[in-house]
Amino acid sequence: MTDRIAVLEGNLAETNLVELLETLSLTRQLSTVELTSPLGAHEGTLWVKSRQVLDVSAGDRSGMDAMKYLLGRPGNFTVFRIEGVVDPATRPWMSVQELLEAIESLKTSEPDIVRSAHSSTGLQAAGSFSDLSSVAVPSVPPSEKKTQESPVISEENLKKEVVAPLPKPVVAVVPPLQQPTVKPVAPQVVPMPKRAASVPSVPRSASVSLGPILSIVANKGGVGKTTISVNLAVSLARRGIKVILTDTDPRNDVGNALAAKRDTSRGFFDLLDGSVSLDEVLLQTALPGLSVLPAGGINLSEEVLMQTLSRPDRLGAALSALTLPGGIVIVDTAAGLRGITHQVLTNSTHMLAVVQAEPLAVRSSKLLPKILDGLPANRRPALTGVILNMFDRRVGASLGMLEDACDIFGGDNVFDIPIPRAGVFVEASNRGVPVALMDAAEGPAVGWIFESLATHVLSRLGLATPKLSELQLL
Amino acid sequence: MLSQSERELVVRSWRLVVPIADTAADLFYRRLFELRPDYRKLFPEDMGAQKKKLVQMLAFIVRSMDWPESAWNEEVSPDEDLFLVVLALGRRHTELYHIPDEAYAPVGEALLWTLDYGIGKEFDAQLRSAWARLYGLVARVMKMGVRSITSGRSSGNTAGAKA
Repeated sequence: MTDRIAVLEGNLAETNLVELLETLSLTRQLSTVELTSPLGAHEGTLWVKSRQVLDVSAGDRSGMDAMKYLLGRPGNFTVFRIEGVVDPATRPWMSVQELLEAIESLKTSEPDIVRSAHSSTGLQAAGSFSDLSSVAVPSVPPSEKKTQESPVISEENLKKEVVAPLPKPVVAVVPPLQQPTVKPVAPQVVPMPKRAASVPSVPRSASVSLGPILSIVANKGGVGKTTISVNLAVSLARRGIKVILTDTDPRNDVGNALAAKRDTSRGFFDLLDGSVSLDEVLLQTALPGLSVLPAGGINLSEEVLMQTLSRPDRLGAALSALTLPGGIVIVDTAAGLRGITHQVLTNSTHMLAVVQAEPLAVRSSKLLPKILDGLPANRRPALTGVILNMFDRRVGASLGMLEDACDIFGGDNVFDIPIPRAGVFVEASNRGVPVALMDAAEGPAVGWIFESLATHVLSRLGLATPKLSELQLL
Repeated sequence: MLSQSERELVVRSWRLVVPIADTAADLFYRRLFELRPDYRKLFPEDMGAQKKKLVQMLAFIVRSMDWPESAWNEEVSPDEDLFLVVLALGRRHTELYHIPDEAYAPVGEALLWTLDYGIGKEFDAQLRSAWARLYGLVARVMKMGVRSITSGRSSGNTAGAKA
């Protein structure tokens, strides 16, 4: 589900488009700037993220034509931020810097356009920095303040208002869930849909001593990756499998989830940095088989972190060093498939993808197999499974989603039992306790799902499933 | 807007400030109240917490300058987004603490003075200019804070979904 959240609004007479762009150069959110005429007609839209301009449109115009049209037009702006992940295939139109330079050079070639763009007051303090005269921060001394004349609203002008058709999306935007229909409650376990052929995955040539390194990934955040990582790790450990659960998300969620009273400020990233040894940062849990290596890195500066990450061989070595014969390394990752997570993926033997059980999230997960295919064969983790999470049985399209997921990933890969939304997950998360270990009274009726998931994972990894009698029943 | 080299200058120079951060905070407020004694009453009696917050905010701003172009596509949580954080900060400054717009100028001067003092000979004209530009942008966003919208979500379709 994608939300468009209004962040800021204002009048172009006070903050012109150029100034707005400069301030927006500070944001890393996917943002849109909607421009409207004084009468409220939609004039144009800019899409901006992380110092890049993704798109500009004004009616039929796009790119520089749209910019030229929009510069100097009076009206209002609203800045929205969009929750959602930009389609990795998106190429920005140009950087904010380049656009500002282009506008600057318009001053000489097309001065009329730009004059009106620079006539507004800006938001500089009445007292400018007296010793900053050498700095090219645009400022208008107070004495030159101009007020924008309100445009004459003649019929002719009315006709000129461009009612722009809404721009083409550049983003894999996921519209909201359909309205849930009021139907009798469907059973939690959805009957198996017709299976499509499996997507064959070329397993990496694993060296004999390398135990499985299973990364849990998701295209976007908030889909429940960490919850799944933690609960899966617990289920596996309860079966007598040695598990090291490690977190490669600098947000350190796993550490926070599991080890409320322990020091989780150092962990994986410190290991990468070489400033600690594994013994110093690996945390044992109450479950004999389960150890946790939090992300840590809290005290590392940004530069050190960046330097560390520019050595992917170190990351690979660090992950391999965690493996044990007969054991599993489970790696929780930061959302998205770029950056650190990309490095983690290319150093994992297996991966589990978590997709939110919501029709368009499923369809946009088509990217995943493409991204995997893009990896060189010996650096491509095997797809162990796809989990549909936060499944809401009230949503009528549930079966359709399962079918879609099977089409995309291959029926054998999609874990049969979509994991439902359940209050107990939130509660467990709050308390820092895996669902399986919560009191029976609080009833993780859903806890058994992770047992099934563990079985699925073990069979896909080709690891022996210990007999029932060996199971540790806590 | 800062160029890449300006960002790098700022990030590198901050490393020189970190070891003397507490002193820098002391110097900053001392300088600010020298410039504007009337501002002293806007602040609490005990400045300990305030100085820590100043250093943390500056560190956050510098950190927010320090990411590679290639990471442009990555998701950053709103709490870690420089623009959103500064916008909210500015709103609080205006609405809660009643800091007038004209305060941003002397604050900027005090900041540059402090960096000059603390960094020493490495604080050349280029570095000064980079910090001034950065501060100018941050101050501008803070002043826009009153126009920020905090009433929550307008959920559902983005413009694109209708197309």
